[in-house]
Amino acid sequence: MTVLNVALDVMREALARRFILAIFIAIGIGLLTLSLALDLDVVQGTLAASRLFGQQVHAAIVPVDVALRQLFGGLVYPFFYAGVMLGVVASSQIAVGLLAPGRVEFLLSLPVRRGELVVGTYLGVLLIALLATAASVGGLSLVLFYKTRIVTAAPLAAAIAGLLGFAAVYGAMLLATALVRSSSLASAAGLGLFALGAAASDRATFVSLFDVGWVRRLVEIAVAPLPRFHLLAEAGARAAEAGQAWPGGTGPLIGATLAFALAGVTAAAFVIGRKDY
Amino acid sequence: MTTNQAAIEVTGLRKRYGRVQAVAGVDLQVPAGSIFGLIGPNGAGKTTLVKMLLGVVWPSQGEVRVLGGRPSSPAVRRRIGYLPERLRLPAALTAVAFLRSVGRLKGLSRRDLDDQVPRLLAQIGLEQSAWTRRTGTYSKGMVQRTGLAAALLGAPDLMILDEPTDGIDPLGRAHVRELLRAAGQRGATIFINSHLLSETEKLCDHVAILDRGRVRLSGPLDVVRAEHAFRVRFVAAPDLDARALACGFVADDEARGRGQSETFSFAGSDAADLSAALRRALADGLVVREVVPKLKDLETVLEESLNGEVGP
Repeated sequence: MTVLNVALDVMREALARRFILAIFIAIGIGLLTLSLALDLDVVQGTLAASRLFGQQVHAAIVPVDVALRQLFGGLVYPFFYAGVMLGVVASSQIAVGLLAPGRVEFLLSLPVRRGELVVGTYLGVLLIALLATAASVGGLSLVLFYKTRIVTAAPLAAAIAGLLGFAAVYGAMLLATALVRSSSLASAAGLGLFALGAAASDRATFVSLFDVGWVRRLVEIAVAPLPRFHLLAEAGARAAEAGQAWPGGTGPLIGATLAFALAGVTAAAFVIGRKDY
Repeated sequence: MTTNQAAIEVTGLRKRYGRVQAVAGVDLQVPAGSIFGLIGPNGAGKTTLVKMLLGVVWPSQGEVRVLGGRPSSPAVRRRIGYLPERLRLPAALTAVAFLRSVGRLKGLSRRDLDDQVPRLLAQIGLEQSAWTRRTGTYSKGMVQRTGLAAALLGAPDLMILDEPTDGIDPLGRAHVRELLRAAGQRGATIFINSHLLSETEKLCDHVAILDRGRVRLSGPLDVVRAEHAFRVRFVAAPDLDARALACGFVADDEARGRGQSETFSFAGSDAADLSAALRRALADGLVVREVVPKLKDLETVLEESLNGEVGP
């Protein structure tokens, strides 16, 4: 219950910030613009033509659900990469604000355990990410449903991939914040991890970039626990193209990503639990 | 909790930051129901001690018991209200939203919050127009008042306040004193860390002096301030100075300097000696107007304590 209260408070406070509010307003304006600028000619479940801002973008005649799956399959990558990076920047100040001198002493004097504060903060940030994802992906689905009368699970794949990726990145950001109260460092840790995790998704190709011998072995060990972000995005794209919420056979990928997130949060709770404020 | 129990018990408390010994073996008891002032020079270890009372800083050694339990226990913390030295409010929230958030974490019901939040905001003297303004726009005094309201939320049994009147104007300070006295009257223990000696003197009934991480002096304010002397004022009479002197009284230059003529000092704290001297004066036909124990001001007590003239 306390964890939930902390999470909801973190979310309320974040939503009261102008920057976060601006992101939601930007999502709304983007969706509104898309709904006004996108024109889909649907005839008996078939997409005859589509125009964006008056320019024809699709001329081939294909079933609407197929066209939408192709569209979402292509959109997963920008959604995933831009979404996670925007999440990193938008959330970098949240935990730093809670741990700021004058604030953290007060929070720690309340009947909240340090672990509950850490987990609540983490869940609160994930709730905001969930809201932003739901607003963008849900809004996009609604716009396309209004235009085509077709409901598809495809956007969900982008949402799941993005949220999983962000969950892992924010775990590491929380740990960085626990170690050093700096939003710049938290952002750098988040973006650095994301870039490295994406680049090292194909471990064999990545380690082959380094000298054979102890350096390569060291790199192998260093990247072994990193989440394979690009594989997550690929899985999301495959799911979207297949019209599924999520493809089968990706359990280990999801498990490893969630384990990384959990390790980050646990380590952050350990550090904060032992620190003097 | 009865008033003869200690609200705070500290035994052999030490805190070391690397090579710096911030708190060097503190033993302290804060009686339940008291208004307790912790004073001392900058760097004495006051804020570190306060933070250890709350479990915000972990002791290197020693034990802290607060309201009969460990300060890290949520059940204990639910009964504590705390105002940090430099409170930072969440800038994006209004005072109402902040207090509701604090209240929820303290386990207060929605009904309690609906009742307490507006009442406390009114009590602490925050203008109603500011209640729904973002706290990021607040002045230092407004932040302090909002923090006080947060500390008072849920009518805690123990309030730990670090410089509670810092940034508040003189009239506001008097108002805050009234609020804290009222909290004391309902049975709450109030522990104040302040560098404002006059505030401590006006509000507290117990004090402790901390210097270089050690308690130099601790006890009821009247005892700590006692000068072991009495001030006696007679009704004007012929040859008053000579007659009083013959009875064991000496002219009190300090009081006379303030325009209180016919005032004398009697050295010593023994009531029997004082009674005997007064009997001699009465037998000589002098009329006693007033007898009061002489008290030092807290600044003098602090100076003497730091110079090693009083205390352990």
